[in-house]
Amino acid sequence: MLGEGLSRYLLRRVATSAIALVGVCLLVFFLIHLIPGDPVDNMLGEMAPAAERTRLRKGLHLDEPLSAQLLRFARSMGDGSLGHSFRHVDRSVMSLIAEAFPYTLWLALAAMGIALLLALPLGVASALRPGTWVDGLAMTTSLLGVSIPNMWLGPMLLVAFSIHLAWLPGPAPNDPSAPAALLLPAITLGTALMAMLSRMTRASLLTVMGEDYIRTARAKGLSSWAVVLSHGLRNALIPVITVAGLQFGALLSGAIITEKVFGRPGLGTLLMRAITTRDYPVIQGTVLFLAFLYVLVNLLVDLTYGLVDPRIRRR
Amino acid sequence: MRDLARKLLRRPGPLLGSILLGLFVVGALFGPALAPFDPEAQNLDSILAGPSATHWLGTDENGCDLLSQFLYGCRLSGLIAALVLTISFSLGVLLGTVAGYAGGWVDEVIMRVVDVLLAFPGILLNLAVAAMVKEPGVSHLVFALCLNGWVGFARVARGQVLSAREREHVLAARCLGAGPLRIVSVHILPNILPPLVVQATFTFAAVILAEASLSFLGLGPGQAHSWGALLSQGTTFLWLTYHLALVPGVAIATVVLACNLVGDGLQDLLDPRKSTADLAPRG
Repeated sequence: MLGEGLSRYLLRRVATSAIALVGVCLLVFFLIHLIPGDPVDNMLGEMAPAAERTRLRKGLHLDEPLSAQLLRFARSMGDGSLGHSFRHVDRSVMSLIAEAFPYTLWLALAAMGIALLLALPLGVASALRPGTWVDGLAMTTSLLGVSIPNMWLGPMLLVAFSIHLAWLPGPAPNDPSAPAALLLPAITLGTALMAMLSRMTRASLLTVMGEDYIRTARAKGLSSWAVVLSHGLRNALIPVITVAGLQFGALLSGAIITEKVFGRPGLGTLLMRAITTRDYPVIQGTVLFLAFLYVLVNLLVDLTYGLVDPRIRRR
Repeated sequence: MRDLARKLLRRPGPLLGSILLGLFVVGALFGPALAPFDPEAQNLDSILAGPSATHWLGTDENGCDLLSQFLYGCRLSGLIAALVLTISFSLGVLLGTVAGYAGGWVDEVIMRVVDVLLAFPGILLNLAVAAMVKEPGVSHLVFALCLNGWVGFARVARGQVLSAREREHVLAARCLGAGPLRIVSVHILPNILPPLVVQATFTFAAVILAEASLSFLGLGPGQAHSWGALLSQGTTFLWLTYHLALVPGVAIATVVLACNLVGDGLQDLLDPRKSTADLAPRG
């Protein structure tokens, strides 16, 4: 069923992702050696007591040869534990990640939902009335959306909806999974994506609406909405959904700031707490997990894109 | 390039962006000289005060003048962004040009390194590197941001070189016996500059955001008044006053918006079909 070109593309895509994953592992392993100078000096400062320095050196196995360190790192990935936390005795890094991940996943999914829900009407309205005030308003909104940093948008939403209007819960809610507690963080995280997707929807729909088959559909006497919805949008959405998928991994890592602003549990909070407490195995493990997830999600989206778009399948 | 700049400034969006960027550059160059107070000077009679004739942007929880801190932060953001942009641009263009011109295994190796660095979404890699140092300084931050900052330039340069090296004038130069160094520096690089300038405007915004994000997360240069750190500090007093969070936030958003306006305008002029593509990512 798959053309030779597509098979070769898929194989190449899988191979480059595999190479990237190996590279990611090596880079994360060498992370503590990247900054010039002694890693222990860098991490603790040169004035740290000798006992603490020895403990860290031993804890990170920096007293062992590099090959032994690499082997230990590979083994911790092989058994799926990603090493052991310094601060939580007897807990593997993966168990901490597994505990925090669902919160981040829900937040990213909610952000994606909000982004799509707002971006599509905005992009369609803008594409159907190019050059008008509707287009101008939609594109200004998206330009602002992509420019306002979420570390500022979040606090401002809190000021408006939690402090002044008291409609929604403030930071560190009792039940972080409750829809009301998820709304502001999801808007904060999803706004940039919304802006990007609305611009993409506009560009994609404008291109599609100029195609011959749209003219044919119009000539057949179909209503404007039928042409837009069943012929235009259906085709214009393929690249938009692909980009949305490709951005999902970025949303997961973008949640670091949103989780800090809203005091929510999740991978970002786990990572920041690990940085504060100098829990290096957790820092390495969380970074590795997020990068792996990003590569795998991107690969999956790329492969699906190759399979669902008949124009690519036939090539 | 001069013609491009003239055309760019005829459009309202890019013109506004250029003016705002110009103000930022003035703030970065002369910020400390323009600051009305020492940013560390405390006025204990005026704690968390709103804007007034003495303190135009108000004061923080220690009674320090927010405008002065803001102007010093402008210098820091400008310095870091300029350093990161210069290093990333040079490294990225060099590696991208080598990859595109040499092709073969050199191209494969450079592009696989690019793949690895692109596998870290957003500021994750920068954050991971900064986290490896107890008290990151400006140099650590610049290193962390340059580590993957060059990747965008390398990709753009490689793509441009791949197409430029097949053009007639390059083939003609090759036939006349010009060496690779001359062909690249005289016949290719000047022709691929415009898309690299577009990339530079978006990278500038991305660096401002990344630096602010790292500072916001407590991984910025310790004692300096970075905008991200000011914003982080401001968010802890949201329940009392929000001007502390408002000022640095508006500043960051304005600089990013300015870069997007200029970058968008440039992209429109160079390739109208791509005008909605790569806006600077948010932090």
